[in-house]
Amino acid sequence: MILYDEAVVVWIFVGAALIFAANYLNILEAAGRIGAMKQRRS
Amino acid sequence: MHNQPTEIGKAALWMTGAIVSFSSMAIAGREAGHALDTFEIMTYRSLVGLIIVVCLISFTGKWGSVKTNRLGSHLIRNLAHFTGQNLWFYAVTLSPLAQVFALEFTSPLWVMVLSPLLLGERLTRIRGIAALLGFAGILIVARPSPDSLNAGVITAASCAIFFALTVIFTKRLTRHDGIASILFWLTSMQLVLGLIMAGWDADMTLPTLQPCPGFCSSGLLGWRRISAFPMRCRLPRPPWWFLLILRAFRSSPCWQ
Repeated sequence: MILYDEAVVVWIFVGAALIFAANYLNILEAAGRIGAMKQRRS
Repeated sequence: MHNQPTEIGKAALWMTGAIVSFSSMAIAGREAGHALDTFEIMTYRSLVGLIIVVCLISFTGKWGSVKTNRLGSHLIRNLAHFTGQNLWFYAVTLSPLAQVFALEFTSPLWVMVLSPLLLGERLTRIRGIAALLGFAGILIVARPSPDSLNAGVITAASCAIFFALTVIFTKRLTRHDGIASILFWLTSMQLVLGLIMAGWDADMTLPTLQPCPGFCSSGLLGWRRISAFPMRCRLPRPPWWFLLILRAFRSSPCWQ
């Protein structure tokens, strides 16, 4: 944006947030955190 | 697993470093793209990378670990990487960098989708949800319509698939080959591929002073991106950490 005067489109950030959330969910699953959370609840 | 919180903190730090590295490389690629086409950038970049790798292997005395018995696997891996990297260099010259990065970071999701087919790993319900969420993100970023869909978006989205294939093939290779071997064959094969593709039309632009900083830093950053393998970061359960942290750890400076 600063270097190339590129326009900031809000939808890119919305989409990027979803992609980030998906990657984070994947990390939690890989680390076994989601299973552990379920076990704690039960 | 007992040291997992520390490792997650480290991963976050590496991710911050990776963002700086990715951004620098995108700027380097875009600057070099003013004077050279993507194949030429890849040729000169691979040459810079090869020089660094040869120096480091010589310095650390690792030539014995550079193996020649899986050249076919190396070629498949490096073809995937070469294709992905060319698409990426093309995308950074056409699309806004934010869009390229958003789409590029879907590669772990592609790994998730492709690894059941290529590595026989299980696609769980949570991973399925994560994949759907990620692909919804792709649709929002790309907003495919006759107006917004262009070569930049298509190449940025497709480079993520080839990077995912690279991760999968790298994972296969790391069962037998070390980082020195993978990096040596990566840079040398990419140099040959780059020469073939750049010289195909018998019109190869020689580097001038202007794009030099671009492809030199691209070679350096590219080497740095791949040189750190999650195998050495002792993260728990390699498969999925491997896929995700690979991207984050690509800027790690560690070398064995």
